[in-house]
Amino acid sequence: MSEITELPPWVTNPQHPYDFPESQTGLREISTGEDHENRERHDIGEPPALLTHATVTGEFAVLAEGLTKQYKDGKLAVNNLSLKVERGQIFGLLGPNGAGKTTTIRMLLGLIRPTGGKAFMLGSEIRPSAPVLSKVGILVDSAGYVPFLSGRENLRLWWESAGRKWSDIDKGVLDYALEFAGLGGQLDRKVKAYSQGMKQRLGLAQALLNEPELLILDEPTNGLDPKQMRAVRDLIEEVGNRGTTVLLSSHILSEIEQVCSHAAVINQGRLIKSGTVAELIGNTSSSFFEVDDIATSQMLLDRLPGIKSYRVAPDHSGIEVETDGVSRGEIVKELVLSGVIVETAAPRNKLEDAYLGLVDNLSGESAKGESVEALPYSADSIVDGQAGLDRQVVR
Amino acid sequence: MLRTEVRKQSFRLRTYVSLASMCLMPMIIWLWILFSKHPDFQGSPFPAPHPRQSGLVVPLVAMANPTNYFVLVIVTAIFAGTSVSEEAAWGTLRYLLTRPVGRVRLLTVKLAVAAFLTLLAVAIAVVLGLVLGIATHGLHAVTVPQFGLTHGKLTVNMAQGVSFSAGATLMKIVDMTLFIGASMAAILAFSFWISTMVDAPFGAVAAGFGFGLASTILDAVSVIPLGIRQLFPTHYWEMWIELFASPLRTTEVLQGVLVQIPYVLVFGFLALRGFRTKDLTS
Repeated sequence: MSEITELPPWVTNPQHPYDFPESQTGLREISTGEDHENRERHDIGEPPALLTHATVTGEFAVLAEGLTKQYKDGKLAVNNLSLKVERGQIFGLLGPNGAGKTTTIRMLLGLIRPTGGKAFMLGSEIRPSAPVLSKVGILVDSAGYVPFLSGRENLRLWWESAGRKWSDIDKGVLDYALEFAGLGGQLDRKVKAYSQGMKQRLGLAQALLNEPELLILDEPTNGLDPKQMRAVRDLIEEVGNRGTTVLLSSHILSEIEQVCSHAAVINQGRLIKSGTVAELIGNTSSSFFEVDDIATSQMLLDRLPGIKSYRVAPDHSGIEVETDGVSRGEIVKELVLSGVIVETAAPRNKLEDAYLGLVDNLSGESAKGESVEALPYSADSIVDGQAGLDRQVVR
Repeated sequence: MLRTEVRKQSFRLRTYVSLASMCLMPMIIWLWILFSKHPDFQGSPFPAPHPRQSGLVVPLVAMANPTNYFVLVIVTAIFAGTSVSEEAAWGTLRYLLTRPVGRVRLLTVKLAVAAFLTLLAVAIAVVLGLVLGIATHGLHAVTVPQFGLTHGKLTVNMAQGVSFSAGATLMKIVDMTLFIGASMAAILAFSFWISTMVDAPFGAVAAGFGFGLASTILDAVSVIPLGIRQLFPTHYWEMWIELFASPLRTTEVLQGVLVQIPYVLVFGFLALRGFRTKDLTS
């Protein structure tokens, strides 16, 4: 295994220009394994205790520093991107189509050579076919199979391609993976007869076979119906609960919001913001109230303190309220006291707004003459697909 | 890894169809000898005036037939040209390359399996010809005309015949099999190199076939000096016939093998160099 021979510059020099400041990442900074107090001290600007070799190798599942990929045709797919994924996190990589998510993930897996920067995975510097890959479960882009072989044969081929015997596989792990794939008798049919969803589920099963410490999933719900998407989310949460780190890329916001503890938004190859999902969304809270009497509700909201703004749903089914200091329960109470029937009251999904704000800002900047090549992007492209089905967003 | 590659190839119909296509020529020649009223292969690249004298004649005439080379080039281009490109097309390459197994090793194994299958294709045609021929015409000595070499071309002296015992002929047939297999090395290496670069398996196969075709056509252009044509990978293809010359002559046979080496080294190097640092976006 290739050990780190040279630490990234920000490890030894926290003032390194490539280091993204705490305020930007929102991460707990580099966990030194020391007490909380130390971290707090760093939060207010002091440099962290000198990181040892073991700290870097130990704490991070994925560590990327200044990753850059410029293709031969000049296209800058990823531009000076730095990422820190701590062990145990379920980390979402969010961005519109063509933002550089797949290129980033492929660089992390050694499939694409960065033209700049470095990346470490589970403590080893990443290079093509690195031994550390045996501890990583992968689903990149979509699942790929030898079409004329059965699903079971394909799993076996994949397992044996690393020089391991099929008989050495842990039966419990195999059963678990196969149960998730849920292919039943279809498992012994040729893969070319499988639907996209079946292939994708089998791909996830394959990613679990080597009992990964890190699971890297690139658009794992591609081609799945809403029920299967739910199953994938449940799986991610389940493996996350067992301590496996998950790095998940998606352009579907609800996916990231529902399963991830942390996320990074990238667009046009650059990191825009990174932190916990809550931090990305921001402090302002927004709620949706399904009410029978819009007019009375509006009158109430106009005089109630702690209401920032509100918006009536286009179909007049309810009101979306931006609150500032007043709880959802208090608003419900006031509404009911005014004789309004409140059918439902739920927090309004805000990652979408935060995300669109972040992505749109950058798009605007680059239009003013940045070197980053403009990428085809439309706001619709990120909330399209079946993800919208299980979202309660009023537009 | 070698085992998985062999498994992959052994479970597919295409491998068997390719190998079976190599059986066509020996069967046609055998049927011809069996049912023709006056079978005569005097004009054949391997001249056999009396083909019913021994069953051993069947594989010799079959393998010398230009159409058989044509089929063999296609089969070779298929085995080598699809080797890596097909994995890219299936989407399995990215999963192979994210296993802790080096890219160079992966290529070496794939090239070895493609080479083995090509040799197997030649061997199957030869063995089938032998089995069919011996079954109907027995295992006897073979008398062939005397060969000579003038201006780089084989000449046949039909008036004089040389007889080889059944055992000696069998040994020569083994040598022929290895020689024909080795003669495919340049086309194999070229197809394989293309295969590492493209995602479309058919493209690599077509390129490999085109490479063999171009070499054959240029070799037939007599305006090109012989010294240059001798460097073409297909120039010495039929020279195994020399093994039946008397006295034995092996100069051209050895040259036919040696001329393959630079092609294999260059295309093999290009494949390794390109693939080792290739950005995998498929």
